[in-house]
Amino acid sequence: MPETSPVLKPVLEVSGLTVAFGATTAVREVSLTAAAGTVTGILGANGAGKTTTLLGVLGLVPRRAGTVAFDGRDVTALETGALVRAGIALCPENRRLFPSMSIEDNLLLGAYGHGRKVRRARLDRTYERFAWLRDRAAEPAGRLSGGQQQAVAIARALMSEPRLVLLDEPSSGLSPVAVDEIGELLAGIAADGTAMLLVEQNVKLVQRLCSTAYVLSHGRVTASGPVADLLRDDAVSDAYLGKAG
Amino acid sequence: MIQVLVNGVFLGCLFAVVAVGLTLVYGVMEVPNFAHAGVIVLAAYTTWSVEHAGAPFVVAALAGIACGGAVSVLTEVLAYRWIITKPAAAPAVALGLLLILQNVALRLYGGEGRSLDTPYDTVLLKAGGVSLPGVKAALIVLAVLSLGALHLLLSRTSLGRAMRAVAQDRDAAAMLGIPMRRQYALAFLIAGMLGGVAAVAYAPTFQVSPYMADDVLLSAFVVVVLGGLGSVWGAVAGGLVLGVVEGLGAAYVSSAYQSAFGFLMLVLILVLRPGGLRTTDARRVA
Ligand SMILES: Nc1ncnc2c1ncn2[C@@H]1O[C@H](COP(=O)(O)OP(=O)(O)OP(=O)(O)O)[C@@H](O)[C@H]1O
Ligand SMILES: [Mg+2]
Repeated sequence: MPETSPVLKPVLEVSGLTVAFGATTAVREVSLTAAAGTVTGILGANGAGKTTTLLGVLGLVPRRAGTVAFDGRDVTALETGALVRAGIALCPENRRLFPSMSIEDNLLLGAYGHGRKVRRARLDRTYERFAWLRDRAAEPAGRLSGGQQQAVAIARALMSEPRLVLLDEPSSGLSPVAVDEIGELLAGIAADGTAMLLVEQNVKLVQRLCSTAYVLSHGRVTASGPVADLLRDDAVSDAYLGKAG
Repeated sequence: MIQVLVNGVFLGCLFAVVAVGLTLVYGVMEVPNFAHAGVIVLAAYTTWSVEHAGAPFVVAALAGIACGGAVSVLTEVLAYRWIITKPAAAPAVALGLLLILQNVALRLYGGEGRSLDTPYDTVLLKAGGVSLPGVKAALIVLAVLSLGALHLLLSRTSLGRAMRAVAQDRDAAAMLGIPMRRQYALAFLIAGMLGGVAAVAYAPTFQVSPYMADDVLLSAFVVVVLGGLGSVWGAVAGGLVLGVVEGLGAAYVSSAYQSAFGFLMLVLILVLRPGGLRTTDARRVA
């Protein structure tokens, strides 16, 4: 069966996702896919529904309609905990570390629901990847710089050994140098075969990491396709990405 | 003087055990759990009735602690869980639950006080000029043991770590797939068992009655505010401070106003340090 490369088989398939908070519908009939080893962008203005889409995939907001398939399996009915254990991890907007808890506690929380041995093994692997964390493991996470906190947030998401990582504006509030480092880190994770959905306003980071992207506007997908094509469309690049560099 | 301090430590341990239960629940669910006093009452009556039926004190005590845990979880599952999105309703629901639990006690056991006998009733520890009745010593020992066990749970186990995370940032914890309902139930279970420990430990020095825990509950709320809402170690430290203050007040001013000293302190603290005695930027259970 040579017709589809296994790398491009979608890990995640969302179709018709609709999320409403009371009377406000924040996300309307959004359909998207994410493939292993690739970073798929989600672009859009403030309030477009990007965060809500990611939260909707994990069942953290009230879904009114739509289905979520992960690894070809319908997981629409699963609770968040089961989705995380199945292999979907979220690296949330504003990082959301637990600032007064230790770095190690923060990391271990990413592997909640797994046995002690598994947690220790994953912690060791994390310290191999992020050597600087080992020495600072006992420090409160809130003491780290923004870029370091973002790295810990990503490391925490990886503690569940996900096949899909949902990233919500990992570059926000970071210095250009720190953004580069985060980009490097994410590229490495994709190279390991992990699928990623990246919500991001930083054009450079999107260009660097994403081959394809979806543009959200008022809760709907208004454009999708190769990032280069989307950015060539002035309306898209001006309205949804700003002039950030 | 030392005798006064020892009495203060006794009171402080009692306040700490009750306050830690309150602060744990406040930390994860943000409800002021007035029903905790009702849990203590039912735990005390359970202990009394099991002992009265002829069981050894240890068995009765364990039954009381188990009852405390079970009743506390019931209040969460049957009531608090349903108002999690309506925090403004929490105080009213909590007061209603307290009345319900007290009336359950009243119906089951009547209004008259019962005395709980213990194997250590007649023990009197003496050292220097200081004496400590066995029941008070037992309470101090039980408080240290149960708070020590709680410390191990919170600091060493995955469940405890998750509980601290929920207390610090509920939504962030949910995003990691930590099941909130289980955490709520666990917080109430632990709080209820601590309430049971308090009931078993201090009922012998007072009496078992439907209103036995009212004063203690108020003092414990003072302690919770004193220690910073949601802070376990703040509650322990606050409990000891309040116990000693009330003990000193009772000894040197008037024992009739014992609780009043606590409230005086509460008012002063609310005016001077609205965040409690501890200074932290984030709420936490630890
Ligand atoms: N919990 C909520 N309750 C009510 N409305 C909400 C809630 N969360 C989001 N919304 C609304 O849903 C819409 C989409 O919000 P969302 O946070 O998904 O946007 P976003 O694209 O992530 O924006 P930003 O770039 O600012 O992060 C907004 O209008 C927002 O006000
Ligand atoms: Mg957002």
